[in-house]
Amino acid sequence: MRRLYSLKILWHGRNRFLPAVLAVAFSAVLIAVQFGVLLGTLAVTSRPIDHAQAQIWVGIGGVPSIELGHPIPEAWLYRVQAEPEVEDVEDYLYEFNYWHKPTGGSVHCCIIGARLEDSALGAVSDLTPEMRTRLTEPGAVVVDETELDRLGLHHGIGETAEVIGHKVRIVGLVHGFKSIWGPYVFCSMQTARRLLFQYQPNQTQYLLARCRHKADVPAVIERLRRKYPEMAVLAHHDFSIQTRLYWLTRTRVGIALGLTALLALLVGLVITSQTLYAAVTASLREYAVLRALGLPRWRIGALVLAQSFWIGLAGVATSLPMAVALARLAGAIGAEVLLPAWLLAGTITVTMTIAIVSGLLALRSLRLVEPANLLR
Amino acid sequence: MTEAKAAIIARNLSRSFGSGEERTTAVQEASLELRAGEMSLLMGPSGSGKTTLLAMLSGLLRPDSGQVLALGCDLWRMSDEERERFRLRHCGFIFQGANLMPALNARDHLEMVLRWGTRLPWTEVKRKAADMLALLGLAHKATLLPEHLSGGEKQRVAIGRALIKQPDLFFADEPTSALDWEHGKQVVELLRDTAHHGATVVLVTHDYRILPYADRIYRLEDGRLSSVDAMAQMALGAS
Ligand SMILES: Nc1ncnc2c1ncn2[C@@H]1O[C@H](COP(=O)(O)OP(=O)(O)OP(=O)(O)O)[C@@H](O)[C@H]1O
Ligand SMILES: [Mg+2]
Repeated sequence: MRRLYSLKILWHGRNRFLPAVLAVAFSAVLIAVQFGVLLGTLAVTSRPIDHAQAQIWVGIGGVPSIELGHPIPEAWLYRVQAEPEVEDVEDYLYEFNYWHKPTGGSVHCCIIGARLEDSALGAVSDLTPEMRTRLTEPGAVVVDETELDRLGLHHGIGETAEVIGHKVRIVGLVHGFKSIWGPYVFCSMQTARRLLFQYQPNQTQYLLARCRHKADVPAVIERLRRKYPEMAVLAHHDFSIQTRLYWLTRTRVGIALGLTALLALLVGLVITSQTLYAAVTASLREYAVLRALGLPRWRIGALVLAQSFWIGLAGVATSLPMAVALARLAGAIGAEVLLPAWLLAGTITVTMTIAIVSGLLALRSLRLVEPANLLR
Repeated sequence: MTEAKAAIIARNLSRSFGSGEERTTAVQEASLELRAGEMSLLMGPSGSGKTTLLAMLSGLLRPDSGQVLALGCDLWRMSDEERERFRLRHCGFIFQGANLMPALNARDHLEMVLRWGTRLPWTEVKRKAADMLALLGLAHKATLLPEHLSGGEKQRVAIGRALIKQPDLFFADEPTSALDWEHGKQVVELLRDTAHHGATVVLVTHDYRILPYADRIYRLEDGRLSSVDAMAQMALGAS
């Protein structure tokens, strides 16, 4: 501390530097939370993939995202099954249809039909054994608790509604499957086929597979792709990311958020660099004496940069707890904000860079430091 | 007193400011020789060019014409970087104000010069700074910020900062004008001691009470320099 002149200067002028610290913290919080919201939102789109046990997803060639699948021949099942490493293959439906609320009106919903055995590949892990048993009854469905309102229901279990003329009955509620496009409706394969009449009995939308040994998955995918170019064959992790990226680029929310983040960074940049610039110009005479004594200009530059570094660090240090708290708060009211380590690390990097760049911009004030000015 | 020899030789220094109608000649054809071990005063009415001359002698302000030989080097033939290194190695400055950094305490100011200007190890830096503070009578004020120091104490810190790198040439522009005589006297005595330890000290002042401390006195009038014998000048000041 005794040698950290930059910290002493910051502490002594803390009232002057506080706005800069807050501006940096503000940009960091904004970036972290915005992208956290985006990640949280996108995670919902791929959650049916992430929560299923399937290792390999097979769909129509070029399918960009889970909800944009098209019917494929159920007979492709044999193609997959023929691979010696494959243990299980099963069908899977994912399609939108209209949900007619008991209260009147209708809403787009997303019907997910899957096999329900304990070892089934498509059913999300959120479906308890009890729910799975109840789902085997025709017309039985499970929805997310937070979607009840959108579906025109009150308390859920036992209530009924209609999907294009077919009666459906709620037999269970899951949590954390709030969807952006239309409420998810989980049901058995049989129920799904009735609710999605556009599918022929010999058609499915996806085929899900599992290998005996997980290590074989890449090789099987590779082989299937080579043999059948008309099929999209994807590892579940890749399909998940592809689905999220599709929505990131397609919906342009990503671009909008990126622009706001850029704006926040600019605000932080301008305020920090102006604060540092003003601090140097307020100390021109002090620095000029050091220059007269022959102390090198770069030392004073380094002092300014060190100040910008500490401002950045203080800003980041204030922002992280705030971002985490905001994410918790948002989670409590039902909006998911994901703050993975890489996002926080990225935020820190970007914010610190901005702080240092502010320091570099403020360095232009050093040309005003002229020893000859001391003589007047 | 050490054997006197010319540390700074100035020949025909001239400098003017502005252009056309507003052109003023601040210093005209000034020549002088300053010796190591002596404290020289530069006196004269306000606006007579004292500061301008001091700045040219010390490498802060380029003369229009003329030459400055400082410790055998032609100061204004050097590149900017060379002159900066020369100032770092050989020159100490104090000005009318102490110009201390408000956030740094007395000790920091002294240590900073050695840390930034020399390659001395940290322990050595600390020791030298402590010694200098003791010499200045500021040992017990080492950790005080400038806002808690009196004007005289601040000026002494400024002197300490300039002295700690043991400069051969020491330039002071009215260092006592903001102080009462009690404190001003301390500053002048410090500068005289510095000179008598072998440095070349040039002091610009209006204050006739400093005359008894001077070894040599120069007078500027309308940019023209004349050397005056110290005793005679004292008589002049007294009259
Ligand atoms: N940067 C400048 N631009 C224009 N004129 C200047 C500049 N510096 C000095 N002068 C002029 O040069 C002359 C000498 O100024 P200088 O500062 O050397 O006087 P001085 O003897 O130090 O005066 P004082 O005792 O008031 O400090 C004055 O007329 C002044 O107005
Ligand atoms: Mg002057």
